[in-house]
Amino acid sequence: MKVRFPNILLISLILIIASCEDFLDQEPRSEISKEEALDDFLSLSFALNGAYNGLVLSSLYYAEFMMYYPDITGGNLKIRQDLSENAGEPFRELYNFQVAELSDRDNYEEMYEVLNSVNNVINAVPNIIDASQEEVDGVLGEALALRALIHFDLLRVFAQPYNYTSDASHPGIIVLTESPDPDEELTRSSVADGYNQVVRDLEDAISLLPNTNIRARFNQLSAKALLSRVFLYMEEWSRTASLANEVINDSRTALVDSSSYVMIWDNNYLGNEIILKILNNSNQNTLSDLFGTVPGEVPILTVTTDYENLLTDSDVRSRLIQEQSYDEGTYRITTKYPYQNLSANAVPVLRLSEIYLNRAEAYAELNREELALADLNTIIQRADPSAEELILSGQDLLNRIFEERRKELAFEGHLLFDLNRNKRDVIRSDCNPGVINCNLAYPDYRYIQPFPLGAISGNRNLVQNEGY
Amino acid sequence: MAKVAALFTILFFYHTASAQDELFKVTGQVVDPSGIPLPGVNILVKGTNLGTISNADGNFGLALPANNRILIFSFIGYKKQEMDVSSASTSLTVTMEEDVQTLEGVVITGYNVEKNRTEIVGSLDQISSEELVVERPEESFEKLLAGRIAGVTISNTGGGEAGLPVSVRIRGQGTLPSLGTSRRSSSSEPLYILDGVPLYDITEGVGSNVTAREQRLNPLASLNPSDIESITVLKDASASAIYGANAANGVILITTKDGRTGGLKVEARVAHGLSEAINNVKLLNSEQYVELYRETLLNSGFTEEEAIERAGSAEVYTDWENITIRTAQNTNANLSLSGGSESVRMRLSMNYLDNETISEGNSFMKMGSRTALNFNFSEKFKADFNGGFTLVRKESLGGFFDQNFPPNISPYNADGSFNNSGFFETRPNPLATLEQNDNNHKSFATTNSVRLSYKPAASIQLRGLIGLDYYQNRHTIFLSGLNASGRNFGGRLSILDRQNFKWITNLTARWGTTLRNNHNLSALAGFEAQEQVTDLIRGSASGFPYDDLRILQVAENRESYSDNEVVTSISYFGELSYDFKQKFFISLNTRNDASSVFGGDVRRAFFASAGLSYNFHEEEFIKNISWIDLFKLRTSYGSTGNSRIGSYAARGLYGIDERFSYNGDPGIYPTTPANPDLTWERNLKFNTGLDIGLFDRMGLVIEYYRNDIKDAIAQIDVPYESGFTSGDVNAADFRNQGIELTLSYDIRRGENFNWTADFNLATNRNEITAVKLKQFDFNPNTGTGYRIGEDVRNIYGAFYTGVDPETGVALFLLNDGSLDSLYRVANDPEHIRRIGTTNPTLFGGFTNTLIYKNWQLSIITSYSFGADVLVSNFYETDGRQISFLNQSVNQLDRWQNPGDITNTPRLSLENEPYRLTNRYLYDDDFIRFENILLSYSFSNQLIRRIGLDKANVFIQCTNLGYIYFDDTPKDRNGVAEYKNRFPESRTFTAGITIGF
Repeated sequence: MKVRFPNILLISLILIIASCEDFLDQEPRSEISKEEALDDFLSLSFALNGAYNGLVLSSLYYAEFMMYYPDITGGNLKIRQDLSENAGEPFRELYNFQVAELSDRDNYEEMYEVLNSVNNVINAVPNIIDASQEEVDGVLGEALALRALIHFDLLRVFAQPYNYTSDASHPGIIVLTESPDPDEELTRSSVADGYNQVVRDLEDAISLLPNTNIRARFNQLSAKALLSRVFLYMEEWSRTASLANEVINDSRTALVDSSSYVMIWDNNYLGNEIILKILNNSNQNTLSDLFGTVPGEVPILTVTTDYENLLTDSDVRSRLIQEQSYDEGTYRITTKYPYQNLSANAVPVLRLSEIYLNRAEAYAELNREELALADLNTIIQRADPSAEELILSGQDLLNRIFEERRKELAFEGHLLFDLNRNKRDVIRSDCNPGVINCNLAYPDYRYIQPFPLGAISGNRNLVQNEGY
Repeated sequence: MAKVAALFTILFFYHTASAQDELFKVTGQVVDPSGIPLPGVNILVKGTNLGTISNADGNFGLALPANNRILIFSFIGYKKQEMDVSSASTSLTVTMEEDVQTLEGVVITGYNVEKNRTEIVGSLDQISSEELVVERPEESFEKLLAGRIAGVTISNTGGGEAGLPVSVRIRGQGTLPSLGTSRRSSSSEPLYILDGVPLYDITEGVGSNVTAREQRLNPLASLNPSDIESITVLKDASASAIYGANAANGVILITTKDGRTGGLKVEARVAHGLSEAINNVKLLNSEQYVELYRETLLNSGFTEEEAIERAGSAEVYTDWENITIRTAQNTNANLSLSGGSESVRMRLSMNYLDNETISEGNSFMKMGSRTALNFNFSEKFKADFNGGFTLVRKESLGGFFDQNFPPNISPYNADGSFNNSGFFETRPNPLATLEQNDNNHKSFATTNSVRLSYKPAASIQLRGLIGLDYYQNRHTIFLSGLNASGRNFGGRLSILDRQNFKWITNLTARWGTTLRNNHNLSALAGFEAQEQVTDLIRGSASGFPYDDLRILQVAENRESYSDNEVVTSISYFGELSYDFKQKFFISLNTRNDASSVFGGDVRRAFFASAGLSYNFHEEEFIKNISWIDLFKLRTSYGSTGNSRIGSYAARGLYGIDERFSYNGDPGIYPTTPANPDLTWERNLKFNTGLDIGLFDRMGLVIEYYRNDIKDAIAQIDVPYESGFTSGDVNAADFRNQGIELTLSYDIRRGENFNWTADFNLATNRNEITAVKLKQFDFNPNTGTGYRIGEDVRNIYGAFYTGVDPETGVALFLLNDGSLDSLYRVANDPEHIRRIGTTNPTLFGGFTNTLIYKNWQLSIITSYSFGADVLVSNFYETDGRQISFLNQSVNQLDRWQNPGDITNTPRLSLENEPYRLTNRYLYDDDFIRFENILLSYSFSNQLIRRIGLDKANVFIQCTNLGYIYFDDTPKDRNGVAEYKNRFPESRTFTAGITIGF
């Protein structure tokens, strides 16, 4: 066939346009692709910021849930009685230990959402070439500590505690170190494996993290503080004590004195007692809404007499309980989360007094009772300088440490987890009327949460917790 | 250098060779059966692209190559003719025969290739401007297609509201319906191509949160139906695979009118009409309302006194629907001018359409213009321009979403001001919103194309196209602080702006030859590139100090958002056709698409099809049977795709937003899961058909189709461990299959009286053949689900069995056969069952055209059977919402005393809300009278005297009404009333057309 001029023109035109393969590379304009989001150091640090913010992005995790769930189920809080059906719905099922349907309470999905954002950061670290080793290590260390925190929370909420079986071989959670594909159906690993991952991540984080003095992000100090709590849950007493030692002996942290105690609950968390707090830049989902410190707003959750009766009048902590009158009635509220005019309350995750109590419990279990008593008395007398020095031993000492933990760490998301790992019953004398399951006798499947319906139907390999 | 030399050598030989060919010249005239000259007839030398067009007087002249003396004359609406001119005198007279059965004649196929019907191997249908009935007062041309083409369904999703997108389905639902309202699935609409330019599909992709409250309008309404020359619907793979990745739902080619040679012709048409609402819902009057409300309260534990007090008195009666409904006016004016010479032809048209709808505050107005310029520079080189623009103004207040208020309250206070207190403290008074709020659209749309054609030789044609499509719409919503709609915000203004800009360019080369007089071979090859850019912006503000200063900067709180999306694609395509003696045809085509929509390795997709046909009527044994004019068998198989799922679907995405920041530093956070395995949907189409022409007056087409959709994309639940609850996946395979039948018959053909009937029928069966992830993915909020062996458009829900005669509570059937009064128990995945489908299984239309002397009557009907419609539940809430919503008169039949047998439960405020049950499901079987047109054409002698070429007057009734087949009593509401929130209307128009 004869080749003609226009054909050549045509062919060359096709070749010119076809060679512009870039023409087909269209990046999203309002969002960025995952690869691009994680290919340089600045983007990586933005992704890490997003992960921190993810902890408080919705009421389903640290913005609210982790702060009230262990306390309403454990008995420090109850639901305001005349709260409407709708407003009370998210709390009632939890409070009543009654799951009508395995509904769409998607804490589970929320926690995995943050976990995946953290994993994306961790797995992108090897590709970063535009920053120093020290900078990259810092980001990696923070991300590993965050991953440990989330896995630990998942284990506390959705799995029975470490000591539920002698070798912690009972079902744990799905441990993730990288983001699964949309159709990947993973299985739960044992609680032991879950805790091993948490410990490994925290130990790596401690070795990578710098010794900074920032409280709104993980640093070496807060990673050690968290690991002391993890070892406490694992009943690794001596490791708990040694990590607690390191934290308590660190010059950057100190208990505030009794007269300043109430002031630390200002949103600025004055003083060095706060080891890790998560800031919340949202103007919604605030803890002050929940606990009724917004002027004129009726609380959703109120303080029980069970808790109030634990505190003597001279105890500084009783000043954090206030009686407030509204049209609807008079309620006792906690003022640990005072109203903030422009932003949501920051969330306290780790506080030095907890580390003292971790160490006290560890020493008591290790039969080093003087040391245990010293730590216990430090906390008791800080709260009430008029209190007498206690001398106790054996189970009495352990009971008293537990009680002090409840008093000191109330409304900070500890009680149910502490009850469960100490194999104690749930006893709620000041219980909302009409509730059948005010009390639980240990052990009970209801100490932990069921996986939501969507999680089960979305992943056929996810075995529901026993009992649900 | 050597190459250039070689090139010149080749060019030289080529020109000398072709010069030797041009020896024989032929001239002549083309006329219609009554002897009137026909301009614009296509005249081609057989087997080549060499040809011409007859001029205004029907004359033509053509130089023929030495070896080929056969001419083919073709013109839309006439039968194609072949003529051997080797022995003829140099001046011919060719009489074209009118094509009455539409089985022959010329049709437009992919990439603007004109073919004779008898040459087609695929499945396509063409409707010409004459058949469209452009006098109809519809704002968008798709509405004119209802009932006209077998296998095509048109549904007016907006009810009687003008200007909203029209849903068009060719051979059934071609995509998986999304499992939720906000979830993604690929577009279900066909691909529209206007003079070579693909038009904007506004329904594709997910909505951006930037324009969340935007009411999307129909960009296709910018085209004036009177400018359309023909519409071709490509149904099967052989016809549509050349459009590749966007052809899965079929392709609709729109060709607009070109200029005609000859002196200036002017045509003008003006019509005016009135519309009235049909099938509005019958609601309770004040006495009935108060009675039912009191009964509800008593049943809910209130005392007699409380009930009387709360329900209020029946003294006032406000028929809320009636006071906001009007008799709507519409005006439609068209003017077109055309004319030209052999070398330049042009057509210019203008259009004005103003359609009020039957609701106050709701109307659609457009003004537009369209131009066609056709240049014939030489035998070899031609250029065409088609373009136009349209301005639209639409008012969207009064959308029937807040009309069924309690009838016993007045819209006005005693002093005549709007009643904005009491009930209207929290709910907007509809009369106040009509006066105080704004809700309007202003849009501008333009579609233009330039096409160049060059024929270096008789057998080769090169064509290039550059096209632009631009659509911009600004939607302004103001909720006034003077009434409850905006009181809480102190007035709220939202301005949403959407722009879509698209360019396309393609180059095609065609080549054809005839070997040994019997073997015709032709080929088409092409290249195409396109880019589409969508820009969205929203400004919103609340807290307006002055209600009538409606600009953003005066407001206290202001927010602004924007978004932007780009899609690009590059494609190669080709087609190869062969026929033996016009008896046996083979057509093969292929397309390779590369698109930016999919990332990674699956960016490219390859589509192909093959088709065969056999014209048995060319065989001697049938040729001898005088009453068989046409007997043709066709079959085809091939693949098409659907890439219209919105951009970046396969990418994992991070969002950047102020709310992701941490401690004052910017933050980014995952927003869309990555699915590297996401692949293109494939639509494998099989088609076989039989075309029969009998007795020179009857045409019959029977077709069977089977479309297998593989790897259909939908957004479904994914394992929560991925950090997402839902993601895009290739969720299922499904199939559409059915039979189509088109029959046209000249019942009467005579001097004074002609009667033509066109009937079409189609069946559709839709079935899921494989589900990729889970056995049964079901959304309990929408009732959609994918279940093997069942229809993708099934509705799943609780099975309502009626009312317990003893207690009056609603009863639902569980899967163990027992009854339960709780919907939430019965709507569990364990108990739900299929309650209906929204896919019709049998549908079509019936059109009759009667001509008696100067009178013409055309009646268009359409019908649909087998579909169900799930209607809104708020007309029948059994007391639950009676405090703020007036109820349907059907609620009068409620259960009152033990022993009552009824279908309406006992009224109570505590009744459970539910929607997904067969209680609210109706059979959507209907026959619809689309349009009845009666026109009178003045006789030629009469109008010539006053200097006109033609003049006719017409009266017309559009959407006269429906026949439904449900047994609803006359004084109750049924499917007719409940089907559309915005009632449909019936329109009477009268108009006049003149031409000179």
